[in-house]
Amino acid sequence: MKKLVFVITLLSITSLAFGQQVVTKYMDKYEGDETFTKVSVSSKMFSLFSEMEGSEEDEQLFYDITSKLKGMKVVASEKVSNPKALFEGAISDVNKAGFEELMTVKDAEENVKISIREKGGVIEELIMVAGGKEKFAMVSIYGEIDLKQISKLASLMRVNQLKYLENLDEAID
Amino acid sequence: MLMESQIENLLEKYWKGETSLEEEKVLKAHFKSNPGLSNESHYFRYLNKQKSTLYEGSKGISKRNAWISAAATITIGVVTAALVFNDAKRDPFAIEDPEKAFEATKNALLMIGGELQDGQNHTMELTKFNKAKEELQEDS
Repeated sequence: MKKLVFVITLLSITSLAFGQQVVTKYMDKYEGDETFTKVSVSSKMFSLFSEMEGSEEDEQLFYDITSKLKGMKVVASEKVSNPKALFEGAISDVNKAGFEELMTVKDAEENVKISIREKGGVIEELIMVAGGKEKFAMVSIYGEIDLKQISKLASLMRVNQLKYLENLDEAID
Repeated sequence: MLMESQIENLLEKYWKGETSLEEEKVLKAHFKSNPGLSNESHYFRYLNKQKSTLYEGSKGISKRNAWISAAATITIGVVTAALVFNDAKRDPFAIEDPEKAFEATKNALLMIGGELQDGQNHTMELTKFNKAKEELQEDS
């Protein structure tokens, strides 16, 4: 009986605390620091999105993606004193939390690393860590994540932006 | 040893409900040591027997019940504490305005999506791309 109680207790604690713990740690760490923007969106908000109007393809896709999410957290700063150390530290924390690296993009401006945590073929959490010369950002989405949809959403919105610019050009001409 | 007449008196008082606890004890002790065939004798011996069985039974159950209720209490307490703690931890940065939450989510998804696409064109180091890569390639 003692063992059973112990196991139940342990299970309930770990399962509750597991989601987005890396980002939460950074949010708490910079809680009082005004130079860091901290944002958290709950699953309740995501369910509200679906009630907003939207008929365009990208809007539909957006609702489809967010309806499967349980949470999103962002910690970001435009001005950090030691961006490199912060970036390296964050990467190591993400790896320690059991994430697998999905991709790394490096250019002159910034370093970006995307890591995921999978369970049974489904991506449960995605963390993107970005570090620039003075910038640092950590974005985490949690729930059921479809990379294909997110990639498509970005391309659709880019196309829309281009169309908007073209229309603007025509309007000016 | 009590006299029969004294027992008769006590019994009379007992049935009227006027006996004290001590007097009832005397009655019970008497019928225990002098088992007779009278109705009263059966009755008091029955009370004694019933008392002892009830006691033993309840002892066993209460011990087990105590464990179960203790376990349940601890579990409920811990789960509630964890929930409250978790909520309190998450709350300070939660966006309450749906419009702002919408913008923030859109930006975050665009950022991630943009990187996912850039990753295909730029120089990249891929350690694990399995299904995700296939999916992305199908898409582009």
